[in-house]
Parts: sequence; C-alpha cells; structure tokens
Amino acid sequence: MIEFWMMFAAISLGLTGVILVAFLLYHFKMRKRVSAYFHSKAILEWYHLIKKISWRDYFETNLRAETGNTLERPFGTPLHYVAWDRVLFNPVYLSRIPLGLNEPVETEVILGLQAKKPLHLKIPIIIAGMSYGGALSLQTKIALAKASTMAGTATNSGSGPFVAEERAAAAKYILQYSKGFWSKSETVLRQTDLIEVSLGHGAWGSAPVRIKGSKVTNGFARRLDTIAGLDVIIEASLPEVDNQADWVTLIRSLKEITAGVPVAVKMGGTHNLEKELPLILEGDVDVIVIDGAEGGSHSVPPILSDDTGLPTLPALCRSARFLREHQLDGKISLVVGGGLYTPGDFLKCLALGADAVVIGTVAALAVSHTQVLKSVPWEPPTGLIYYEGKAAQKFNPDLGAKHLNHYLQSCVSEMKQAARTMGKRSLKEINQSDLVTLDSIYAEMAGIDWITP
Amino acid sequence: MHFGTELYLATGLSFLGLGILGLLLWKPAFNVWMDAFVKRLLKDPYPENIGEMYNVFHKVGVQNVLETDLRGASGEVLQRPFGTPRRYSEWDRLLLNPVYLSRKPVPESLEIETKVTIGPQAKRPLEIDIPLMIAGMAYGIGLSLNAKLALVKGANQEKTAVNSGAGPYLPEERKHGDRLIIQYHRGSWGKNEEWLRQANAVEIQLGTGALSSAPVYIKPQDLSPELQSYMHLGRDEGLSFNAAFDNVKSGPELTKLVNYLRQITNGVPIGVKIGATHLLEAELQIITAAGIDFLTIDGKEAGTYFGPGILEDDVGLPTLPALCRTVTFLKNAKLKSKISLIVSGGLVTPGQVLKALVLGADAVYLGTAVLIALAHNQIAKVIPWEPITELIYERGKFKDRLIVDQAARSVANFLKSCNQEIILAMRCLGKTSLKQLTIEDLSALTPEISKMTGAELALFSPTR
Repeated sequence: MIEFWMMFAAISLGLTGVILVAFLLYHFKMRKRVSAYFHSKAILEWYHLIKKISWRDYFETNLRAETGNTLERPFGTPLHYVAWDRVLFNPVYLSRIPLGLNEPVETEVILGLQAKKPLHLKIPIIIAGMSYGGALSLQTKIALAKASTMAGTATNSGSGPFVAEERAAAAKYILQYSKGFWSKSETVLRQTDLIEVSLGHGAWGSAPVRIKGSKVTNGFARRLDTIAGLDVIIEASLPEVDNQADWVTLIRSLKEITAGVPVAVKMGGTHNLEKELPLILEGDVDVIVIDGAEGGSHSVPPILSDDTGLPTLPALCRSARFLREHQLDGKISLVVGGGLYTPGDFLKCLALGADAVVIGTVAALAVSHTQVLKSVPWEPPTGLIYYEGKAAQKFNPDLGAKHLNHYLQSCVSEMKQAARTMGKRSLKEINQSDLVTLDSIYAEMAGIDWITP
Repeated sequence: MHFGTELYLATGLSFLGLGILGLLLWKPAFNVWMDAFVKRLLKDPYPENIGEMYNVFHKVGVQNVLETDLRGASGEVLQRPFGTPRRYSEWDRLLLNPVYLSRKPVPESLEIETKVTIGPQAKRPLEIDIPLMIAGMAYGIGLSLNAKLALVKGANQEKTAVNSGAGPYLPEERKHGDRLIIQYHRGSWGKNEEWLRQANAVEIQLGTGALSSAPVYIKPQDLSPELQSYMHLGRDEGLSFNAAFDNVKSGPELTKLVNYLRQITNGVPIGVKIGATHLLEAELQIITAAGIDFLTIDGKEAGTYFGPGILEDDVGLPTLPALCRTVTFLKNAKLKSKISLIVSGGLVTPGQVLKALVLGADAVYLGTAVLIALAHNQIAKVIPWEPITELIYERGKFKDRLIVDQAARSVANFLKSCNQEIILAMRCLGKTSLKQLTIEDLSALTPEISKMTGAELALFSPTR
C-alpha cells in the first residue's frame, strides 16, 4: 500500500511540475507567440471582417449558404428602431400630491366597450397569440393560460388551432381568427371571450406562412383538421375576404355567432396605417390590435422582421392619433404589442393611448424561467417551450404558470409605483402630459413635451 | 497488484485528487489572484497601470492599434482585404411598407417575377433570373482559380451573371458561365479582342468604390508563381493599374471606346463602372453622354482584394446616397428606362438588396457576402490559425483545398435564399414584379434618410 501512495505522491508532484513548466514556458517563451497570434493577419482579418459585416450577417450568410431556403430566425428582429428610453415619465412633488404606498391604484381595463359582452381584464397586459403546434407545445400553451387566469388577464390562441385544454385553463380566452382554414366552426367561435381577426403580424407583415408537412404530426394535424404530413398554409390574406363587402359581412357574422363578444382586428405596423384603418373600421370592429415591427414570431425570415413594417412606438402614436381625430377614442379600444420588454415600456404605451399591451417574447422567457436549464446549454432556450423542442416533454406547466404570474404581478406593481409618483389613482389617468422626451422629433411624433419647453 | 494496474490507478487517483484539491481551493486561490490584480489596478500610478491599455484601445480603436502595428512592421501601405469596416449607409433606417386591406398581399399561389434585363436598348441584352449578380473579383490578383470557378458555377445554377473583375482572361470562367460580364479595366492585360468578343456584357471600369481611381501597383512577391507564368510575367515583374485609361481622357474618347466595344461584341450591353463620389453628377453627365447601356455605381462600402486604409475608409461616397443621387440624375435626364443601373458596395442581406431595388437600382452586385457563402462549410480548413483569405485567395496557403462543387453549391444556395426572401417581402408589399416597386413601398425612420431617399417619414401620418 505504501508503494501506492508513494506513486500517487510522485505522479501528483510530476503533474504539478508539468503545469509549472508549462506556465514558465508560457511566461518566457510562449507569451511572445500568443501575443504574435493576436497581432497576426488571422486575428486582424477576422476582426475586420466581422466588424465590416457584423457577426449576425456573417452567421446568417452561412446559414443561407447551407440550405438555400429563406432563413427562419426565432423571436423576430434584434434591431431597435426607436429608443423607448428617450421617453421619460414626469414625477410630481407638490404640484400634484404623489400617492402613499397604501393607496390603491386602479389597473382594470375593459376592451370593446360598445360590444354586448365587453372583455374585463384586471391588468392591462395580455399574453400574445403564440400558436400551438406552429410555435409552442401544448404544455406551454396551458401554462400561459393558467398564468393568465391567476393574473386576471387573457391569453390568446395565436394563429394555430383551437385547443380545448387551453380554453379550459383560461378564464378569459382570445381566439385568433386566422388566415388559415382551421378553428372557424361556430362551436369553436362560441367558446371565446374575444375574437381577434388576424390580417398579419408585426414580424411577418402580410406574407403567407407555410408550415412544413414534416412538422404537421398526428396530434397537430387532428386539431387542425387536416392530414398529417401535408404542408399547411397561412394565406397572405383572409381566404373568405375578397372585397370590402366580404369584410363587413365577416365581422357582422362573427358578432352574430358569438352573440356579441368584442371583435378585434390585428395587423402588423405599416406606413400604410391610415389607409388600412378606415377600411378595417368599415366593419364594425371593437378593438384594434397593432403589432409593431419589433414583434416576435416562432421563426421568421429576416427580410420580413428586420426590413418590413412600422415600429411599435410610431405605429401606436399614429393609430392613437387616428382614433382621436375620428372621435373614436373611448369607443374603440387600442391594443399594442411588439418589442415591449419592461413595465416602463408598457406604461409608456398606456400613456400614449393604448388600452392594453401584448407581451410575447418576455412572456415566453418568464414562463421558461429556471426551467430553461432543462434545455440549455446544449439546446437553445426555445427547446423547452417549442412544439418541436427537444426538452418540451420536461416542461412543468404549473411551475411555468407560477413564474409568469409572478412576472406579471411584478410588472403591475412597478407600474403602480410609477403611477403613485405621478399622483395618478388609475393607470387610465396616465396620459401624454405625464411624459417628456429627450428628442424633439419624438415630441412631435407622440404629442408630448420636449425637455426644452 | 500488477504494476501496470497500479500505474493506471495512481494516475486516475492523482487526477481525481488534483480535481478535488482544485475544487476546494479554486475559490480562495482565484480570490487571492483577483485581489492582487484589483489592488494593482487601483493603486499603480497611471502611466504604469495596465488599465491604461483600455484607454488606448478606446481612444484609438482596436483595429487602428493593430493596423498601426502592421504599418510599423512593414513601412508600406496597408494591405487590408474586404474594404472598409465602417458602415456609412443606414439601410436599417428604411422600412418596407406591407399592405393588408388597402391592396391585396400576393398569395403563395401567384408567381413573383424577378427577371431583370440589363441593357434593354442593346442589340443582345443580358437576361438574368434574379436581381443579384456576383461582383467583379479578379482571378489571380484576388481570388484563386478554384474560388473563381465556384463563383461562376454557383451563379450559373441560379441563372445570374458573374463579373470577371480586373484579372487576366480566364477561359474556364467563360466555359462554365452562361452570363459573363467582362471588365474592361485599367490594366494592360485581359483586353484582347478575341476575349472581349466572348462577353455577354462589357463593363468599362473607371474605378471602384474601395480604391476609387487610384493607381495600383501589385508587387511581384504578392503574385503567385502560377499567375506569373500564366500571365507570362518575369519573376520580378509586378502588375499596375493606371489611374485612368490612356485612350479615354474625355467624353468623346469614351464614346469612341463604347462604340468600338459595341461593334466588336456585336451589340452586347456596354456599361461603365465608377466608384461613387460627391462629384457624381458631373461624372454622370459625361458618362451617360457616351451612349452606354448600363451603369455600375460602386459605393464606399465596397470590398476589394487588398487595399490601403485611407482609400477604403476616407475616399468616396457611401452606397445609399450614391444610389439615390444617381437615380435622380437618370430620371431628370430621362434615361432611367434606357440605362440599367447596377449598384454595389456593402450589400449583404436580401433586405438591403430589396431596398436598393425599390430606390431604383435594376440589379445589385454582391461581393464580400458571396465570398463568405463560398467559404461556408469549408472554413474549418483554415480556422483558427488562418484568415478566410488563405482559403480563397490566389496567395492563400490553402487555396488548393477548396472543393469547387461544394463551394459552388453554397454560393447558389446563398443567392437562392436571398431571392426567396425578396419574393416573400414582395408578397407583403402586394407587388408581383420588380418593375412594380415604387418609392411608396418604403418609409424612413429619420428626417435625413427621408429627405435623401424621397421615402415618406414613418414617424408621422403622410396626411398630417
């Protein structure tokens, strides 16, 4: 035995020696060579190339060269077109009295005031339409629904099929009337609390979406009412709407079938906004949902997410202005989404004229929370929540719902704190006069004060 | 116990022991090291402090520090590949305007037309299937034979054109490509009649975006021996591009050259390429008077084989303003439908390409992006010790390892993917053909870009 320990000691000593020698070698000889590498053509050229075309373009060029197909980038654009941080809230001290910690701040909101059955929400944050199958797994959809019930808000089906389990888990359920062929029967439509007719997304614009047959597995196909393995297409425009008369008829029939739940229309932000809105409003819609160009998606070609559409902030300001100018504010609710990540962003939207905001990407992050460790580092974070994600089976919906509810509560508390410092008893009372901007052009765009009065 | 077993056991256990020791001690050890480092960082006098490095890099810029070293080492003009790293053209301040009800988006069942005719007025115009072409990158001076072959094969798969660049004539390129634009350049080689006759279009190159009209001398040691023997050069003979053509020093002389080329090629499109400059309108006045079929405007951000920093970074006009000004000029001169406009320089994504097309370009050249696609899955052959140029340049140590067909497929895939994305975006715009694109399909996020491009400012309602 003693021999063994001697050998152990010898080898340990030997290894330490090797490390020491390596260190000394590095210190005296290699350091020059290592520094030479960092000064060599290789490192300089790579640095230069990446600086010239950016890491993302380098990476995406390679992905294009691999497949020859359009790229499918998750989460939408990484670009920030407008700077939300150039807009600030105005706290009050004596000019108005800030509220104490125990004074309540009203956060309730009603969507579709003119509908027979308006949608009452306890908080002005709605979970975005992220479709089952096309994007998320069943368990994730259920977690989103449960969280929305806990927080007193609504969840949205997305452009995928109607999912009965999701409906059962959600107290308030928004069904997206998509540009596909599925989930449009009267039985399904009657089960919703609000119908959102989707003309397009912020990320996709109005482009048609093809879901590959390989993704349409048995369970998904059954819910879509199609055959597994066939490609599924979300068309460029609604198949049942060929002209303006069809549009009016569609909205009317949706109201009749559902006996008066609010009908919302969702479209991506576009510079054609003022041309689209009158046409949309020719149908008797109750809610306008604007999804800015920053909006995320399951996977979307960069040309659509980066280069197409109108960012959320100008889209919101322009829509709110449009409604005001046509004396429709207060009658038609305005909901916005796309690239909103913090309670500050949410409250700025409400102040600029939105009745509620939609969160997608951050909701997906919050619902994953620590469970994301089940997927990373060898799989991307989407592996946990996506329909075809490799770790989707390991997702615990109750835990996910708990975390998302916590996230929502945290955001609402922060918004209330901001309201208190502005001396406002309800989030609805916060308006453009509570904002100031650092950029003169934003002041003009949003109708708020510039820092230099 | 057998000695061998003991040895393995001991080795294993010693690693285990060291691991455990490391686990137990790494925090305190790291802490001691960190403390010492931070103490020195916070206490050392400024001139001796390592933190001063941060200032230098921040002030001078990492690239400038490294390039200063290179200048210091050689004493000659810098040889930087790929052109300037600066991005002057703010393509992402422009957005395409999708339609929903105001016009119908184009359904998947309808085809989108992306064919382009270069030189519609020529006797034998050049037809390409997609609006993306491969920029002129010279054989020998820049790319290796394998890389050139991959480019031309890739372009041919997608039925688009490839530009020969300013290299010597290359019969292989002609053999594998159905659409070859031959550059009539400022060197003394590659311009004999027999070669020019084989062109599908000829581009008279008065300069490039990266190097402008500067004369260039390529030293003999920068030329590969293969190229020297291919071009019948002596061991100590270099290559030089003149600043201007000896025979083209005025408008009438350019007209004469254009007519000559048109005659010997039996009417293929004849064009002129210049690097963009603020004196654009004055140059265009003379160039368009020569009766050309197409015009190539190469913006500041364009790449090149190797070039000195001052020409790449500081001379010329960026692609976006150059494009807008050229389009305005052609419209005012009522030449927009007669002269095809090709634009290049720093275009990498299909979004940028489509925006350029909306602004009035008929087609674009892609250079750097195509080279990245070309190296694609073969890049592992050079990283991490060598740069990408070693794989695709004639001077590269690993140029023989490039597999042509694989690289050609990558190039074709890249072009195809870009074109498909362009088609998808056009469905959003409700346009079925490139010809239908108008400035109404774009909006700008800043007043400056709006003024420059003529696109409406997206921040406000246009009826405001």
